[in-house]
Amino acid sequence: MNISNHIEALLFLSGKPLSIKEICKILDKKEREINEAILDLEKELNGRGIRLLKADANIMLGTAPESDEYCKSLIKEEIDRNLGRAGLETLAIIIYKNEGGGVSRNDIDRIRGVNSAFTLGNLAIRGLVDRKINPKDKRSFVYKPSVRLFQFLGITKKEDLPEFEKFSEQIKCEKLFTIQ
Amino acid sequence: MYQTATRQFEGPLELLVDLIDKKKLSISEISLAEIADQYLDYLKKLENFPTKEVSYFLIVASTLVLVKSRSLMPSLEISEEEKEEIDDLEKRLKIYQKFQNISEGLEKIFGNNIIFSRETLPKMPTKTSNIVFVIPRDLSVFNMNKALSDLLNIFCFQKTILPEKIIERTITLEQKIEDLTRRLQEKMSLCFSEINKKQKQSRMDIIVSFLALLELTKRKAIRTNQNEIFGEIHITQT
Repeated sequence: MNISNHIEALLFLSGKPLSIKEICKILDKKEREINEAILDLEKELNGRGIRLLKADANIMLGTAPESDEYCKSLIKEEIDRNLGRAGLETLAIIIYKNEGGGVSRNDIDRIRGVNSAFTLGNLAIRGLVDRKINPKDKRSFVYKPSVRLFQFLGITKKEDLPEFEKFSEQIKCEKLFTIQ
Repeated sequence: MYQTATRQFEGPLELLVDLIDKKKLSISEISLAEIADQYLDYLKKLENFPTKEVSYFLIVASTLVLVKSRSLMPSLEISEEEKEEIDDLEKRLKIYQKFQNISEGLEKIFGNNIIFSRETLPKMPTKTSNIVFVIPRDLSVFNMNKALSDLLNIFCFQKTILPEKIIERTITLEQKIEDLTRRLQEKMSLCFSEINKKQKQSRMDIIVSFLALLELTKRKAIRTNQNEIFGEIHITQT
């Protein structure tokens, strides 16, 4: 068996997202090797009923989005699809403003032109964003898309988002400068 | 006129983009000048102004007024800062509009083709499975004891940090005024230092006494006199 199979086994057993660091530790391999193995695993699972989901540094095995209908009837879970305009805009910013470290609340407020604290709180409670201490300013937080968000969007990686490349480029070019 | 007055806008950018879109314009200084009046109209019509967001709306309003003025008087000179302000608003609107588009795209796919994980399967016991209690590895009397005492500390913590304070005697201004007035009736003139010589007069006492002095002076009930800087203050009745 090769590394990618072991990763597959770990992810299946866990049922929850695992960080790449964790996997490196368990398998005692370097990150580069693990990343390559992950790509292999992803290729292998293409078209299967089980897919590999990658959200930043976390990966997970999940059902194929195409099986949505059948899975939903198995779960019989009431899924709230309603996010509201504020929630959607905020998520759009967090996903597309492709900053590795995460987007700060200030950035989000500036782009939306409103105070987004309440909206961010809601999204955090629903598990759709991950909140971490801002490494640049320990007093504030940064927000990243969560694995759960990807699950709900039915995408296995960021790049699968509609027009991801086009939007990402456009947003990178528009630099916001601050006024005093 | 313009009928969007009924819709609630969370922020100024949302409103502006909506106004510009309705006119099928693109975002530019010219279009901003065109919709400036409508924006201000909207603000005027708002009954319950969302007080939290007032400042955002007003800042943008001021920029719009500037833009409108420029369009009416092209020769109007504006400062570097003001130019930047207008450019900044334009930029921010463009970016916001982009994200609005993106969010519309997200809405279409959200919740449509969900990827489920094993974690989302209901963990309810079925007819064939049994629920068992698995003893955690670090379970011991010592650990349980510690856990309990930690928990109690959390609750007791609130109590122990209440500082004890001696309730101080309060000195009211009225009392001091009364005091001073009474004293002056006994003696025709007084010195400020005399008032505070008795008993253990704290700093607060002296301050309030002085305030009483000032108040009575203001009321023209007494006359005060000080011959030298930091010298004795003589008080007489008027």
